[in-house]
Amino acid sequence: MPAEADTPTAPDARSDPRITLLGPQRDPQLDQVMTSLGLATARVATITAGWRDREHDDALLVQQLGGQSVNLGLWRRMQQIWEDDPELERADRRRRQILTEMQELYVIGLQHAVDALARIRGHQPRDVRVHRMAVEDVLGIMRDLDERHVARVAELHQEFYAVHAPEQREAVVRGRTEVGRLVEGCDAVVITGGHVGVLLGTLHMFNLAPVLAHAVEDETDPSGVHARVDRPVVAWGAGAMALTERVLLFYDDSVVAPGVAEMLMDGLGLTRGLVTLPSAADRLAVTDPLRMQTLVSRCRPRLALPLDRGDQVTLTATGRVPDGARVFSAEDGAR
Amino acid sequence: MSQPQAYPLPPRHKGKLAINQLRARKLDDEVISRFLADREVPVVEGAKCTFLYRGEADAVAVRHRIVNQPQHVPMKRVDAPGPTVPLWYVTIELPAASRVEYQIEVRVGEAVETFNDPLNPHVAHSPVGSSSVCQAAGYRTPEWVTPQPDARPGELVDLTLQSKALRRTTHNRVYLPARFRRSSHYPLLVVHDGDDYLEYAAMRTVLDNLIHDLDMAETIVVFSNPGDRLREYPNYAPHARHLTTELLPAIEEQLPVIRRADARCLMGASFGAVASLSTAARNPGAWDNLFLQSGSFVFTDIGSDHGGGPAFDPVVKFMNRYRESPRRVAERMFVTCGVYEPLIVPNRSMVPVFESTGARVQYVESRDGHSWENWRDRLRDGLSWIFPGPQKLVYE
Repeated sequence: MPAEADTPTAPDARSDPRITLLGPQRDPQLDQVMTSLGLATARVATITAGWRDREHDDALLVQQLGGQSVNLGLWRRMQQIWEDDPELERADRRRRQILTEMQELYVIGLQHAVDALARIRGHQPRDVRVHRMAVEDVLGIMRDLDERHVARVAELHQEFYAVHAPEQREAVVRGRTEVGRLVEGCDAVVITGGHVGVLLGTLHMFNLAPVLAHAVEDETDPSGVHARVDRPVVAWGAGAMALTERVLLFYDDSVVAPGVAEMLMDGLGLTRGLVTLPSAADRLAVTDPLRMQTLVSRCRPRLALPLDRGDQVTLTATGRVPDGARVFSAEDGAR
Repeated sequence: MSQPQAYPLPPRHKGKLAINQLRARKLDDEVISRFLADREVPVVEGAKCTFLYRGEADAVAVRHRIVNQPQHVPMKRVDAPGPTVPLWYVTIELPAASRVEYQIEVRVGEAVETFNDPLNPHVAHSPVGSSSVCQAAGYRTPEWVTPQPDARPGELVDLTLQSKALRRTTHNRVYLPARFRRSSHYPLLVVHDGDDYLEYAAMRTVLDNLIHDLDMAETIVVFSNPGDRLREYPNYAPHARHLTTELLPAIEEQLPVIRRADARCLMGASFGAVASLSTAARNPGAWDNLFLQSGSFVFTDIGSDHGGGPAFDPVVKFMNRYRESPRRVAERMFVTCGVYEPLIVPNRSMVPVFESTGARVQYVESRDGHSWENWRDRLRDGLSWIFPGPQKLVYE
């Protein structure tokens, strides 16, 4: 099947479903967004698993959606699975322990690269070309670390799914069936922010990717396909990150020292060529061009898409950043 | 690795100090009273802090405990005519962000009395009494030490254990974070001088706030308390045995803590830091994290005269032996000390020794003394480093 027309706007959200990414919703504007997308009266499936045990503290969300929503309750369903299937719970806990250790060791490597980068950038160049190459070398090492880490995390997930086959376990099958039916009865899906690791864990466990989208052949994409959502999806915060191909954690304002951005894992892969950066203005040292250059370089070839307060970006039909959207660039931090 | 200090620059003060402007005026009781009513005492102008006392006396002085500085600083009397109640003053220069505890000493004839500054409402409390506090320019009480309206409080429950090792009943309080769930698994922090940390370092409030702000992981915290502190804390085998073979198993049996050394931390200040270090040293592989505040790490390079009195004998013996053959007792160590306390020298000296063992060491100094508010103010740095919160994973 050929790639579909790649127009930047969605005149009718239900007839031409797209992914719409929003800035943080602390002062919610979701009702206006839904209206602008022609979804004011739509029945909406909501995913608030990132809120963990507060998953159902969603009165404001329900109100914003005009009362026409159903919370998929993925976090609660996940707890039920752990209760019903302790063997799977133990295996998952073990997987998370390994992931934590992998992440810790990967960050140690990154931190050394960041230190090296700072020293090299602080060096007074006698030959500009040599200096630039040295910087590029370290950035290349960081990208290599990122790639290796994401690949190993993916291997670990594959191993977990291959060994423990959650898709064949009764508790999981039951949950997936119920979630699939609920989504089937809805016109649109809203995914909120929260804990991105927990959110991704639940989205994968309930296999939401094929529920939300189908694959479309695409010769222009290195993977040969892109995803096409079956109904409009609106997401922000961790939700916006989870939809992408790759999830990058970032927080420059940590208590002890500026953090180093770190890849977490692959996301659902419903978008193409972008890394989302929710609350970028608050979480990133956007006025520090060297830090931003490093970040942008590590996102390459994907675009670093900030999602700040008031932002609303509807992706193209192929899940790409539309022309004119604000993205960070290596040259000047932002364009 | 040492933490580079980022002290703010003190705001520059232009013109005459307030006390000098006052002295240039014609003084009477009303003028002096208005002067005092209009400003906080000590009067902080840039780096200059003017301490004041009003009353009849033969001599008045500020008493503080800044190491390597004269700790008895006489005040001068401001000349005023006739029956005016005299005003005494002295101006001391303090670096930015300093926090200094002090008292006023007044001599009338042979009688000498020392008390908190009656003109200064800022008072710090400790188990041995209270002191007035001078907050120099740039010092701010952290907002996370006071209750935040949206931070859900954790729960504090009593835990009494009969200890065979210590041959006494131990009294502990266990902090369970808000939203505590038995189905989750939590890191474990054991705090020496637990009730003092709760009482004088606002640690329950600090935990509520840090966990709420995602700066610190949800953690189960055991606030343990000593019996005979000076016996149990300086490298006392029964104490180490109690924590590791009695308290820890009891907690693991009763509460969902992560059963791994890297998810456990021992913490303490002063002798409590020695107790933490020596407990970890006596139980390799049991406690992988240490949070050591103003540790009483007194040692001698030659001879045995340490000047600390008999209470420090076991400390010095332990520290000298440790320095002779340093070994890794924990994977990660967060060490803090105030630069105004005498223990700054041994603490600074121990950092490279700890680092030489391969431990990851984070060392933070502050312009403060051997005090509970100093230890309180460093809690966020230490706790968020030891058990970092999920901030990098949460995107609202």
